Amino acid sequence: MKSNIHIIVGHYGSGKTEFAVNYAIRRRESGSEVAIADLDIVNPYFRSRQQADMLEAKGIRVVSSNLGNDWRLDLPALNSELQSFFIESQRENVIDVGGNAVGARVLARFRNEIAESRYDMWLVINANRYETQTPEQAIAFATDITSACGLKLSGVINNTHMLRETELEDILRGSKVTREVCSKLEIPCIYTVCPEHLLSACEAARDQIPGELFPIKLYMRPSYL
Amino acid sequence: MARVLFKGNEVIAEAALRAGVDAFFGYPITPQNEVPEYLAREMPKRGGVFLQTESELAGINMVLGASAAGARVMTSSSGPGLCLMLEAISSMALTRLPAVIVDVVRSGPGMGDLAPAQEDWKLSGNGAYKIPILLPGNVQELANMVFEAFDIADQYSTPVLVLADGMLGQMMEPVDFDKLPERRKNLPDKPWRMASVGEKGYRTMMTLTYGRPLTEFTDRFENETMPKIIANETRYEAYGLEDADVVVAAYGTSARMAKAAIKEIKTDLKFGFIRPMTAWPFPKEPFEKIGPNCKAVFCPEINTIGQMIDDVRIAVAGRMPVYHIGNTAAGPMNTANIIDALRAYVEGVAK
Repeated sequence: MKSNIHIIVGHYGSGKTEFAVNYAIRRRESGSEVAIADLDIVNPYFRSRQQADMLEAKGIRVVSSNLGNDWRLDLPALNSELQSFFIESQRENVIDVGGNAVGARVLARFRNEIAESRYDMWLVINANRYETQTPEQAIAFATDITSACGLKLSGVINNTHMLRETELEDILRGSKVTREVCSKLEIPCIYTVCPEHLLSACEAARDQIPGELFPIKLYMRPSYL
Repeated sequence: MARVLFKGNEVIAEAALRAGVDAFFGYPITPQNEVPEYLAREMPKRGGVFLQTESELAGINMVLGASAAGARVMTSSSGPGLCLMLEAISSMALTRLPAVIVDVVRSGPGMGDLAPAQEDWKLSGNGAYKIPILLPGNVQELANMVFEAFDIADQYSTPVLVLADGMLGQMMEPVDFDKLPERRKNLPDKPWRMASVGEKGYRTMMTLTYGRPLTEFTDRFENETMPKIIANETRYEAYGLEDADVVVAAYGTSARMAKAAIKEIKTDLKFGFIRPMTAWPFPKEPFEKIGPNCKAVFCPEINTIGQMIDDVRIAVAGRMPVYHIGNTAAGPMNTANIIDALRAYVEGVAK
């Protein structure tokens, strides 16, 4: 038996962390033992370790820095506990990776261990981000990311949003971009993310939306923003 | 260009490019690193000089030199870097050289840590001068202010500081670059510009002046330049002042926390709100408009001992007490801290 690894990669600000945190919670709520690793050593803010207290209260193990989960630290060093992700177990191990190829390079350190595990590597796309508005742009980032870490993508997450102002149109535009990316990379769309208030609208437009619908809560965005 | 999601720091760089920045000189520091990262990638493609210097000191002195040569020039940093730049900024104020400096503020003193902060309100170099300081409150405003800062710098021949906290630099928000302000017209020539190779004559720029030239400079600054900047460039947002029982005054990210706090608190007391959008010139006018019912002014700032609060106290001129809300031992101020402080006051009044 091998370990279960779910790697979340993507462009800066595509919503990797928000998705990774939501995904970890969803797996935990469906009864799995879950750990999440915050591998972002590029950015200081909006990292999953910032929600460590909330996640651990839900019974999710958070791995970020050897010095604890204090988000104000900015150390380009990896936690030795990451090794526990590759020990044979039933635990679902979510790896939240830093943005772009520079963030994904960190994964190369664990390439051999990951390759021997059962792993998914999902590319998060937000077609409202200025650098990933077209399939070509998104694919260029995908290529950079996979060459930096030496691992293969197995799926795409359509996370096209406009923060609290997301409309159905945003999701549909992202769906088009995602479909083309999936067809060119020959991998499936796993989820299309939608805010809870748009769930019924998305269900009504189901034929235009790839993947399973994934309702999301904004855990990372402070309520005043 | 329709609305797209940009990170605050990316917007600083993009707005500068759209304002026609000719050169960027700077040294990396968290939490503003996406600014040089973006410009390093874009400036070779779109024209202009990008140089990562060996230190902030080198960077700001290259800014001084490029400005003396007539370029539209900028740098960006955070508090520890800005401290190092003050000597050159002070020299640029004396020689009246325009430039844009962006400070994405983090927590100090000293190297401090990387948390967002509002702790650089009072940073200024030696000498009798002031420079315009712009206070963006969201990512669109950050774009607009960085864009306009270049025109303000040229119009008054002065360095301009854009003061953004780390949260603004790091957060993502929709932005529309079609909504940038108009470029200002009739900006003055740059007659002081150093002559370049092949041009006739030469000009001098003195960064060390004795006696009469210096007093003439400071006199002119006080009596001509300052009144113009105060009259034309003072900015703020305010509402509910005439019948307010309590006024909350805050800028940047803490203003957003304050707005959320006022909305959430349940009370019969009426809250007024003031958001300075320039630190200098400081907007005194809205504080003078506070009505007679007001019993207190609260100043939430992401710092420990309060900085903007001193300007607020001067503007309030003793008419009512002014209280600080700020960081706690648990970390930087957040909306809950503001709600707690306001609730304690409201409950005290009810008794």
